[in-house]
Amino acid sequence: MSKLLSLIFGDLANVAAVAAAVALAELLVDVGRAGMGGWLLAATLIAAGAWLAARQ
Amino acid sequence: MVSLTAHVGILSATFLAAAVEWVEAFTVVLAVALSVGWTVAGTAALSALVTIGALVTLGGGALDLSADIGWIRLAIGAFLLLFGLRWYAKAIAREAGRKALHDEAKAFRETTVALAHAEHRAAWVVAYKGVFVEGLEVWLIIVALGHARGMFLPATGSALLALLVVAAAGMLLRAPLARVPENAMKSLVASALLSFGTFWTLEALGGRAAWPLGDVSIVLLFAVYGAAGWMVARALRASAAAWQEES
Repeated sequence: MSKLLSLIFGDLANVAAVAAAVALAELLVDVGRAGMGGWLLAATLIAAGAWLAARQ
Repeated sequence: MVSLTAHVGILSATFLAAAVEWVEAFTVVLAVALSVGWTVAGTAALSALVTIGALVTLGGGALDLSADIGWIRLAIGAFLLLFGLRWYAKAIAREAGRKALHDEAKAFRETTVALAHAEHRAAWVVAYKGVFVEGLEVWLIIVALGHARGMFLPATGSALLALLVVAAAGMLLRAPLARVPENAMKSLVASALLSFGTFWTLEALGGRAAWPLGDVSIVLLFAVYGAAGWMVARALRASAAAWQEES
């Protein structure tokens, strides 16, 4: 079960990075800037990927 | 209606992602086969595939019962982001020299040594576990990529085709698939998973208005993720080299 959870979620930093990116994107959707939300989500995830890579 | 771009993209992403997992599974099976024989390795691999097949059937059917496609898309999009981000960060770290490249030949040698005095039953479990865990990842990829666009069966076919291609290639080579540039493939697959995850997550939150360019956005996202990952890896490598020179 722990292997399955690890497969799905990764570690806490991974979950936190995705949650923060989606929350930011949802904020833009809520204020009527849905068209920008996707690219902000992508930019946040690239930054998160760089941060996670630098930690390894 | 799924556009041709999305259709080809989903099938290609499923094929590549599944191929990466099957390569890892085949390495374990090959190690077991050469240690205790193809009968043990073959039956274990087949049993694991039957288990995965049952999960695909049951899992796909269970998801079909759900009415709200928006929630499914959001859940699947978030899953793809979680899964893709991990691969993305690992691929960048490996490209930047911060993490050792996954060595299939080393994994093969270690598994062979571990099995030298093992009972056949233990060897069977090793092969079963290897195929099951990797097959489970393939199943999650199939559900994630195929279900949201009503392409569950084509995605399953694509993953099975990847299995046949990897198995055929592996049998022909008769050696660990160390020559497969795994990190390059993982980097491409991670970019593809993040692209679909980003697209579906925002589509679930903001509707079609979230992507004014439609499905073409997936291709653009893939290019952006790929280029950015390459640049980040180069930057990390350069900063590590500069730090070594200073110290």
